[in-house]
Parts: sequence; C-alpha cells; structure tokens
Amino acid sequence: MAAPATQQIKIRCNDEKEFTVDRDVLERSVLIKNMLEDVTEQQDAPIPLPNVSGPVMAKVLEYCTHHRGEPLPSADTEQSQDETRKRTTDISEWDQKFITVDQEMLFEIILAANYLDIKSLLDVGCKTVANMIKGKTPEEIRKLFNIVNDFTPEEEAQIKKENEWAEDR
Amino acid sequence: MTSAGAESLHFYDPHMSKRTQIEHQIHLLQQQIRKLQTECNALLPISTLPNEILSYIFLLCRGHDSFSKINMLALLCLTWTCQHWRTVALSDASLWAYIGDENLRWVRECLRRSKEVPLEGVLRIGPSSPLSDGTLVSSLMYRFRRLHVCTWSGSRGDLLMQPAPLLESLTLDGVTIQAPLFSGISPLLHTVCLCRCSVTLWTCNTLPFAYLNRLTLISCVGIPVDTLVQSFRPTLPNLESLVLDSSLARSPAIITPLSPRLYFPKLKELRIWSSDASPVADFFESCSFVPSTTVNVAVCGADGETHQQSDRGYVGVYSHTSPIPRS
Repeated sequence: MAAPATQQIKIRCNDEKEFTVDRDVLERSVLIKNMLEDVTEQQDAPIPLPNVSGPVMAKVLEYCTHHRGEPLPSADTEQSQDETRKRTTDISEWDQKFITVDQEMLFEIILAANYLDIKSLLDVGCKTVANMIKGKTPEEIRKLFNIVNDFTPEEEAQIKKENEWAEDR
Repeated sequence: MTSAGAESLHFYDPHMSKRTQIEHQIHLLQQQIRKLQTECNALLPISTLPNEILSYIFLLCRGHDSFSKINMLALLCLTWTCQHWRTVALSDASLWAYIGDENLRWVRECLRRSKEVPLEGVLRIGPSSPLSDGTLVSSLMYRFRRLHVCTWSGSRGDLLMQPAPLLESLTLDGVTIQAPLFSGISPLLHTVCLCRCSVTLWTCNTLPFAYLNRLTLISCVGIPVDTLVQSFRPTLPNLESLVLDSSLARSPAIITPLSPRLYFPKLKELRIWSSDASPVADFFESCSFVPSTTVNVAVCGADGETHQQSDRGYVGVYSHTSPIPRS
C-alpha cells in the first residue's frame, strides 16, 4: 500500500547535513523511490546519501520541490522520451534560472542527478553544459573549462587532416 | 658555398651527436609536459563527469540534425579540445552513426567510427552526388534505423531494394518506388513520410502498412480517394497519425454509403490539407475514426483562402451533420 503523500523522510548527506523532506518530493529520485519501496516498516533513521553533499542536495531538493507532482517517466515511455530529449537543448525558464550556478556546482548537480537517478535534472544539467559549448571553437572551449591543449604534434596533424575533410564539402 | 661543401661540413659536424641527444631530451620533456597537461586536465571540475555523461553532452552538442555541416563541425570541435574528450567522443560509436552524402571521404570515416551501430542518414542523391551509383547506400541498408532519401534525378527506387531489418523511420522525397521496398523486409518500420512521390496503388501495396504508426503524404498527387481507401483497407490497424497534405485526388467513382469504408481503430491525429474540397469529402465519406481522434482539415481555394478548417471534434460534426460541400 502506498504511503501517504505527506510522509516525511529524513536523508543524510556525506557531510552529515540532514534534511527532512516530503516523500513525494524525494520520490523524484528513482534511487530513493526504490529504496523507500524496499523498506516495509517506517524507519526513523535517515537515509544515507554518501555521494551527495549538503549544499548540492539543497539545490537538488529545490528542483524536486518545484517539479513535484509531475509524471515520472515510465519504463515503456522511456525509450521514446530518450529519443525526444536528445533532439533539443531547450530548457524551461525556471530550470534555466535554477541551473545558473558556478561550474563546480553545475557538475556536482549533474553527478548528484546521475547518482540519485533524476533523469529530468540530469537533462537540465547536461543541456546547460551543451549550450555552453555549442558554437565555440576548440580554443574557446578550452578557455571556458580551463582545459590545456595536450595533443602531441602527430595528433594535431591528424586533427588538421580531419579539418581539411570537413571543409572539403 | 657548394652543396658538396655543405654535405662535407654536415659530415664533419662535431656537434651532431650532441644536438641529437638534446633533441631527444626535448622530445622526452615534451612528452612529459603533455603527460602532465593530461593529468592537469583530469583534475578539472568538468573531468569529474563520467564518460557516459560527457558523451551524452556531446550528443546534445551535435544535435539531432547531424547532417548539417555546422553540427558535424561542432562534433569535430569537441574531438579537438583535448585528449580525454577525443577519446570519449571516438569511443562512442553512436555519435558518428549519421551520414550525409556530400563528402564520400567523410561518409567513410563516419562508417568506420560508427562501427556497426544502426545508422541515420539523409541522402540527397543527384547526378553529381558521390553516392549516386547507389552501391554504398544499398550495402548499408541493413544498418539504417532512420533514412531520408531525396532525389531530383527521377526514380531511384533501386536504392531501396535491400532488406532493412533495423529501419524504423523512412522519408522519401521525389523517389519513384519501383519494386517491393526493402524486398518486403522492414519489420520495425513504423513511420513513413512520402514527399513528391508518385503514389500509386502499386506503392500502397508495396509499403509495409500493417505496422505503421505514422504516415505522411505530402504533394503526392495521383491517387484517387476510392483507390487509396481500397489499398489501405484493412491494412492500417496500427496507424496513430495520418497526414495528407495536397495528396488527395478526386474519385472517379461516386462514393456511396455502401462503398468500402476504412476504419482507423487507433488513429489519434488526422491532418488534411487540400486545394479541393471534393476528395476531402470523399475521404470522410469513406473513413471512420474513434471519437478521440483529433482531426484538422484545411481546404484552401485557388485564392489561397482557407474555406474549411476545424479542430478536435470535427469528425462528429462533419460526418453526421455538416459535410464539406463538393466544389
């Protein structure tokens, strides 16, 4: 029997930070949803989340609270949705504002969404990074993420050849 | 100085071995620097992302319409950023599983990089196209998942004769279908769009309609409604979307209530655009839908004005109480 929507669940992050959250908010995470379904008796002990820090979890919960009640992808629709989500990098206005964070936090949100299995949040994060990259030259991309050009001269020669192919159209 | 003199000077160069030694040292140091640079890159915040996520980001950067030069260059830019990104991009075969037809060398490179994953392709086949002989396209047919063939050189139905066991979506633009498509083997095909194709009874019998979810006919003039209905009946049990854009022709035979009717048990969406109301009226006389079907009909006169337009609930209103008048 499904638990009432108002049930409060405790979670504990890797920095010992604890949150008490409505069950339906937490169930945006497939990982936590499955964990809760596996537990038959009500437990007072917080659910440990060793891969997420408090500040990142706070952001994740902000997202989950905003999107609570929205339908979760079911197994049969997942494949077609996968196809659809790959076709666009559009992000809703609220999500855009939500994800306007520094790079470190952005990547941590992506990692947390991946770990907690929150597909829609993972998409928002990945689309944000994709939008940051799009239309930039390799040098501009390096500058954006502080990446150093570590190609050998041989590899650079190969890249130059590819460039010629690409231009030869 | 003569060249002989230069050679002898080179021969007696007392510093040559020392120079070679230094050059070797420089090379080793450069290798070490590259290694350190790679290690440095590995410590960046973006490098905390697992390869599969980075690969997904690359897929989003490339976009779905990877046949455009812009998107292909976007993908190439990613592989030119650093060693790690290049390794990730090149190891994901699906990133490269898209082919166009403008540059044969690039097509071959994409085929190599995509290994054996199912392909998507947009092939514009003209007299000067590198793929115009059709050999490569035919040999790849077993790999296509989505295929769009556009030709302006007349019939190229010969390209589509090999079995296409993985094909899910097909768009044909200007192609005359000459023989059973894919030798009748396309078990996964669920979406077909025919644009400027010569649609005949033969075409209708050739396409694997039984499994189609979505069928779109655009500017496929030539098939009268009664023939269309007869051809389809009863072979469209799974159709969920039907679009008939400037593709209905008037029936030579008068459609009566006793004429064969076509029933779409799963149709969710029907869209019709036509410049002539008569074939539209014929079509509605010949078909019936489930009540939940969304129907949108636009009949435009020669003056460009839309005379009939409707949305949800049109069928119920139209087929029983207010049929479109014949022009």
